[in-house]
Amino acid sequence: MNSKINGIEYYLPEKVLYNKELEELFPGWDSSKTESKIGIRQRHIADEDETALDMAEKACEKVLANFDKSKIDFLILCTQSPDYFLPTSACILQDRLGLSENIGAYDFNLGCSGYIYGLAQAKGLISCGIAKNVLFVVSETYSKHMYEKDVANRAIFGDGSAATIISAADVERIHQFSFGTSGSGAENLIVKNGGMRNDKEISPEEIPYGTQSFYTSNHIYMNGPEIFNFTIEYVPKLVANALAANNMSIDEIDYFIYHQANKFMLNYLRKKDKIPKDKFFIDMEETGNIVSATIPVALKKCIDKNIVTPGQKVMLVGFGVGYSWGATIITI
Amino acid sequence: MKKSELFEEIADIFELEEEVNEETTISVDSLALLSLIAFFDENFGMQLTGSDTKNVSKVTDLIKIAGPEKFS
Repeated sequence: MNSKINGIEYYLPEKVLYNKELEELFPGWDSSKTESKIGIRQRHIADEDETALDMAEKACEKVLANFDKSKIDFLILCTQSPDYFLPTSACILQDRLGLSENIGAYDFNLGCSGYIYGLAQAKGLISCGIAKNVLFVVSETYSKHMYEKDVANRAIFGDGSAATIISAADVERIHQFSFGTSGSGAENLIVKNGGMRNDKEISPEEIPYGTQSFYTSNHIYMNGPEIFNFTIEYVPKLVANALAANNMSIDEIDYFIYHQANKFMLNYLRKKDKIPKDKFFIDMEETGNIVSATIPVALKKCIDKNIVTPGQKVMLVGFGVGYSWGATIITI
Repeated sequence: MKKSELFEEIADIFELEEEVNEETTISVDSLALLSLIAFFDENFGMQLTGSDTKNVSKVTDLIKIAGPEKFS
């Protein structure tokens, strides 16, 4: 059985953190450069009592407003901010959404590559005849992993959620994938404490890094330069592999949606991959980097604004924490 | 690469108004480092890291990292 994307909706938390507020909190921090170079003016931040699960519920409700929810027969949630170690957030989400009890539901833990992996899982379930309509939701609140004095990450990351329905189809619209993994980069984007390996520390050491930024081992740490080097080395190969997997040349792709990491990095990757400006999505001004949600939010915006139109081939490219990466081509 | 081209690039990255030479003082913050990583990759095929640039205080320090033989 073939598969297609049958609807996307997203939800962004109400609270907005503007660059100006960060500038007031961190005197000397340059908000204009962040806006012009990194491409971020504001980001949405989940309320203290609003979790990735709450946000996932809202995104799912939006996409189910136009879809008979009794037909959903599998639920997959991608998050690195679950409510609990156990039970699985997707199980709670099944109940909250009032989905059938005769469905499979599970979480998986990936970041910026997550959307590609979820599409592959949904396609797999459909092509094996296990499911016909998969509800796949990405939801992330990196803000909750962040140290308050970490201006670098507070400026880059936002919170957000996106729900996609992947359904069985007559013609294949989700094409072949290419994936990659290198756990050698694990230390470069990590929350060290709080899992089974290391307890949370009561008074963790405040560690300075980058420019004007601090983190602790209880919080998220990102080595931005190393992540940039990783993308420079691996993303061009990933794009080439995804094209090869589909027997396509780069000219046959109508549009490219890369994970929206930061504007400077994206422009450099675009040039390296020899993609014309008008075929390449960059828009993260109002959301920041929302991790696994950047690609579906971008795709939804492109569809709504007719930037991509039915029949066009779009390459989706995700890469980040893990390191983990993946790409595919879809037909709109 | 001609040194003059490097100096132009440095002026651009660090938004310097004055004429740049090897002794020009520079301070590599996170955003400048992003640009330098791209510049080193594009022009020298080199991966530049945060630890490479930790002790960079002048343009000549960057020339040393790239290798002086790469400039004319």
